[in-house]
Amino acid sequence: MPAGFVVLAALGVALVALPLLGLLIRTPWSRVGEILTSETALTALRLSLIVATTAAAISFVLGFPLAWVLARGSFRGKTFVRALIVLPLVMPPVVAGVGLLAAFGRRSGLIGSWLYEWFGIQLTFTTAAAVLAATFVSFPLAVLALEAGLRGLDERLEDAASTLGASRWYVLRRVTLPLMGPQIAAALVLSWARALGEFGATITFAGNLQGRTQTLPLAVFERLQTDPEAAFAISMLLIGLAFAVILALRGRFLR
Amino acid sequence: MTLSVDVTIRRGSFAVRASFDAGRGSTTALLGPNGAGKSTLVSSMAGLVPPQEGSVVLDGTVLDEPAAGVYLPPEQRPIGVVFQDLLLFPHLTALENVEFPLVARGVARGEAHDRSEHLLRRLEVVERARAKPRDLSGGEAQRVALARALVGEPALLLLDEPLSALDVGARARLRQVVRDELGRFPGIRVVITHDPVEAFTMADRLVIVEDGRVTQIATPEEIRSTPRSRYAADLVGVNAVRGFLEPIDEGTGRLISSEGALVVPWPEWYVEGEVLGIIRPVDVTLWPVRPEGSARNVLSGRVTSVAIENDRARVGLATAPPLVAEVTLGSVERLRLRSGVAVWASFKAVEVELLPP
Amino acid sequence: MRRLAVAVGLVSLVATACLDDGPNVGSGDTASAQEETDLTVSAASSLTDAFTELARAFERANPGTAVSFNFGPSDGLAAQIDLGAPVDVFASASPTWMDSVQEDGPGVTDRTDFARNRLAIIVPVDNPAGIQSLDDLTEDDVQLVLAAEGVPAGDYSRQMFQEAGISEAAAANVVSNEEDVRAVITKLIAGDADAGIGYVTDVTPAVSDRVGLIPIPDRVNVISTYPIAVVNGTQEADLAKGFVDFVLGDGQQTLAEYGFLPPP
Repeated sequence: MPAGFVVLAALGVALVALPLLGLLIRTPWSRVGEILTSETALTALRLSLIVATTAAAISFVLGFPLAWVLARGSFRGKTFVRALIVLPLVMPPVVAGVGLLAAFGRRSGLIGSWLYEWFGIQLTFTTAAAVLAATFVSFPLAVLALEAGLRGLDERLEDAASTLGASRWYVLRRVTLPLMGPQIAAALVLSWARALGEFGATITFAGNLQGRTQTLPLAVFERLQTDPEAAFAISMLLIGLAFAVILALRGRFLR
Repeated sequence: MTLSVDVTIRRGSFAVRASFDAGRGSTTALLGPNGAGKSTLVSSMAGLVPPQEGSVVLDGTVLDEPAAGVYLPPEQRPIGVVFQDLLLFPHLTALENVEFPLVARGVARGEAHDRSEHLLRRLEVVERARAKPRDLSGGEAQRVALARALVGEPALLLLDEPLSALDVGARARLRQVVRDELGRFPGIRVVITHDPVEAFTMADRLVIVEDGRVTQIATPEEIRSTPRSRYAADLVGVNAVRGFLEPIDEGTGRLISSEGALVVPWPEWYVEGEVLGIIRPVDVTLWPVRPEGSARNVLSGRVTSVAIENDRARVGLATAPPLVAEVTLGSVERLRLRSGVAVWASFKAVEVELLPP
Repeated sequence: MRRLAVAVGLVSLVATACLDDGPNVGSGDTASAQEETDLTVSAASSLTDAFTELARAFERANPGTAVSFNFGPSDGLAAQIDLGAPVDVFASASPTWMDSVQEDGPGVTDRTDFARNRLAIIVPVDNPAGIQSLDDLTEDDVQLVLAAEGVPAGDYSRQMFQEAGISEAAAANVVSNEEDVRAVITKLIAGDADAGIGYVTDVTPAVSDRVGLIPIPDRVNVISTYPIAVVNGTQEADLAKGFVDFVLGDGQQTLAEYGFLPPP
């Protein structure tokens, strides 16, 4: 093991560990119980769980077919589509929020104005908007993980299954998806974690209202202005949540 | 019930064309060198690779007929396939693998379980029913794969190199098991193999595929007596010399190959091009000195190998062209045949059978 | 195609690093980099336009100085100062947050009130919901945006609703609590809000073609007071005091031009 690598690796770990350590130390442990059981925190927690889980689910349902098309299909412009899918990952989240407004805003949105005029449907300032913002930024992660999983599969196993009389749907359910278990879990966890932490797009597109759009990151941000210690406490909650999920799946799926 | 195959399959620049029939209860072996196109043919029969031309008809049902736009996907074909790499599902146990085709077709779990267990028992591998494929030995995995292909009681059984992945010991043990199962199987069996012993022992008929074409369809005996290609000849252990013909005199000619020339009878059908000359080892006589007599092919050379088989010996000769002679053990003693000894070999012109290219 | 995608990705990454994704902390660097003294001023976001112009005048009057701004919600700015941000001058939109820096933070010197402001109803320029008065804000389906509690404008808005007796009805219509009063304006320009409560000074020339202003009667309105002070621990005590004096002196005209009221 080259010594230089070990040093750099340690620096890398420190880079991630130090801010977490700082938060751990700054958190007002005496007040934590009271802060985390406050209405603000509990409401934000409930909303975050709903938003992140819904976003991850949508990312999977839409992402799997897309991953399939990218992994197995051949069509002109595939490279372009893949680059497009990756865009939300590199976009500043606030810009993503502005983009969502431009598409789904009630007044000036491409689709949004049509939805509002014809159906009276408004997306902004709703929980659905928070879900949409979270899905937008986490979708690429799901697609990339699922595409990698599909590429890694031995398609001949699917051929074998069909020679054994399995319909295409049965092959998908009983061969393809089970064999992709770890990759599916990775896709879900990654997109869920990203959705949980989404801030910029949410605050720009969905707004900030307790119980409707104020997810944990937004609650932290608001608290940071008035009561920083409370913000630290709620941050610990967020981090603890994500950590717990990742750890729980580690033994089973994420190797 | 018959299988009728008459297809052309194009893959890239390679085309495979084959035409053969197989009847109920028969075993047809597709034999040929690597890359000949055997796997492509089997994939086509399985429905994994649609042919460009021709048709595949099983028991009156058209499985493939591109001209009429007919293509039955694999899951609708009454087939069972054992793949060269077995392709057992790694996430299922041995038993679940065998149950798979039944459950996929809607058979009740209980019945599927019983039928699968029964088959695994017959193949003497039931004690591994709960093991995952990665924990099975080569021979065990092969039996499970066979059970999985058979359990659905298909009309057509396709086996792709069923024993090739095994070591010699396992192969010998398994050969008998496979033979028994095939013997029991009431449908049509098509086996791909490159092992002549497998082909000759398992098959009623051999379809020899070389370079995308069928070069011979015959029973093992017919091939043994009349191989129609270099590959087939090598297979059955006869001498095969390829070359051009040149006339000598009335009714005879010279077969000129890159390794030597032979005197042969002039074939009536010859127009031009290369021909194959087959000389049975048993027709080659060995002499200590140059023989007298009317045989028109007399060659000299050193012995390169002596292989005893039962009560005969096969003697390799570094003649021009190189030959194998089959002699009695007595001759081996009398001529003191062993590697390096100089001998003379002779055979008549008429003992060279010529085949068109 | 692949290389283009990578290039786009890299450019976006760099842009991310440069773009803000948090409180609206802008920086108005108005002098060249080789100046000798830097002054850091944290000011409420409602002061953005007025103070930026004012700072240019101050720099002209005091060659060799460069004023950098942190604009943002006063509560956030106070929190930053309390946590140790190296700020020389703090101008708050309410006394509350100046008190906070005095009590929980490093403390201040030369605290003086320098301006006052009043609230107004701000609407998109086409006024899609047809808002004419405070009472209109209580109508069904009006989507109202306020600054969050803790932000002076946010607290004042709620106080004003209380005075006007429409707290519950207005609260029911609130769809978003923004991090500062500028963000309220943004939601009216770029978003879907029907109306917001901001300051009269927020309808600057820059946005006057996109938002409109509906005055609130003084008897229910909140007239807010802006204090300014030198933050203790500053390295530029003299310059900081000079800036405070400038705001109280020549700066008053600029403030008036932007719609601020003079201090009491």
